[in-house]
This record gives sequence, C-alpha cells and structure tokens, in this order.
Amino acid sequence: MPGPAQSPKTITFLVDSKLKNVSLAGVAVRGICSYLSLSDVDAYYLELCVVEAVNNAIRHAYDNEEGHVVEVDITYSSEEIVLDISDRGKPMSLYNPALPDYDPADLKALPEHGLGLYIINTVMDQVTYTSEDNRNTLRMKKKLYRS
Amino acid sequence: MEIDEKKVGDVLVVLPREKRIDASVSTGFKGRMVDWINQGNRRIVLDLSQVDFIDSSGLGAIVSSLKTLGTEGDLVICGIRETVMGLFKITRMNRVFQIFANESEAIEALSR
Repeated sequence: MPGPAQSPKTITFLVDSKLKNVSLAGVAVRGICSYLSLSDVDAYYLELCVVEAVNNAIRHAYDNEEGHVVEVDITYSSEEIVLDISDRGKPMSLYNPALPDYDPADLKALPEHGLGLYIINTVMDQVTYTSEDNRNTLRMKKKLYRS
Repeated sequence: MEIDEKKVGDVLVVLPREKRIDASVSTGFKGRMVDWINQGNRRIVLDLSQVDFIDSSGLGAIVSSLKTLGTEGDLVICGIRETVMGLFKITRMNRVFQIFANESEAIEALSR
C-alpha cells in the first residue's frame, strides 16, 4: 500500500565553472539518489545527466571561463525528481538532442562529441530549456521507481 | 590521471586507476591512449573495472582512441560495470566495441 504523498523538497548548490568541480555535483546527486533508495543504474543515469548539463553550461554558456556560477536545484517528491541546471552565460542557440545516425562498422563516422543532450533526452521523461532575464535553465524531470 | 599499463604478448592492457573518466580528465586520457598507439601498440584491452563513472566526454575519448587505432588494430573493453554499461547502451557504443567480462577473456580474444 503506498504511503502518504510526500511534499516536494528542494536542495540547491552552486558549482564554480571549472570542469574539475563537476564531479562534486555528480556525487551530490548520487548521494541524494541513494537517500531516495533508487537503483544503482538509475542513480548513475541521474548523476550522468546532471554532469552533462553542468559540463555544457561551463563549456558553452561560459566558454570554459572560470569564476562563474552554475546553479543546481534538485526537487524531489515521492513521485518524481526535477533537476534544474541554470547559468547566466550565453544561451544555447540550438537545442538538438539527436544522436547522429551512425553505422557502428564505419569507424570514421563514430561520434566523439555532442552526445550530452542526447543522453539527457533519452534518460529523462521531460526536458525543457528556457532562457529568460539573462538566466538559462535546463529542466530535467524523471518519474521515480524505487528499488 | 593515474593509469596502469602492462604488455601481455603483443596485447597492451590499459587499467585506469581513477574512479571517473569525465570531462576534467578526458583530454589527458585520450593523449595517453594516442601515445601508446603511436608507439606501435595495435591490440589494446581497456580494463574499466576500477571506473565507476564515465560521462560523454570520457566515452568520446575512448571512441577517439578506437578511431586513432583505425582498421589495422583493435581496442576492446573488459571489466565494465553495469552502470557504465548503461552509457554504452544508450549511445549504442555496445555495438561498436567488443566487451568482455574480464581481462583474460579480452586478451585471449585479441591473441587469436
């Protein structure tokens, strides 16, 4: 029998725009997933999506320039988890989550870059990107199934 | 990035000692792999048994290594964890790389 509905809870943390710092965001997400009793595979996927989104913000919104802030807001309830990754850099000009249609046998065609958004779009149930008032936010939602 | 390497016959076994192959280390990792390939190594086993997280940058570095090796050599993977295997499946790279349960199976496959 399902328990009573849980009111959403939110945690926010700020990541300085250095790729070396992204792992901290990753392990924080992993910790929250463990607290929520998610499976190891689901925890890995959620960590992966946050890491990809923060990497994108550092590389593309801030052009790898240090000294900027990427904000990670995690909101969870018993039904879903919402991951908001926000920056105040350049907005994404093109949101393209498609995986290049490649032939696994064609070495030259194998993709080396540009897989981050595809991974996010594949793992998450809903992904939106907004750019308002000099703040860009990638919102990723995933329904929760406990292990 | 700490990486162990050893030669078994003409097979080079590469064992990253870090838990993460992510955007902060992927360029360095790729550089080491390219160095080993340029030194003449053509059969390489990448043992991922110590690695519990790879992002798309780390995966890109592994793919880039395979492309550098070209059709004259082979790069296979072993020891991959179920979680990391998920990344390979999502991106369909499990159809690109031969993946073995452990190092000895991978070496045996490359030594045939």
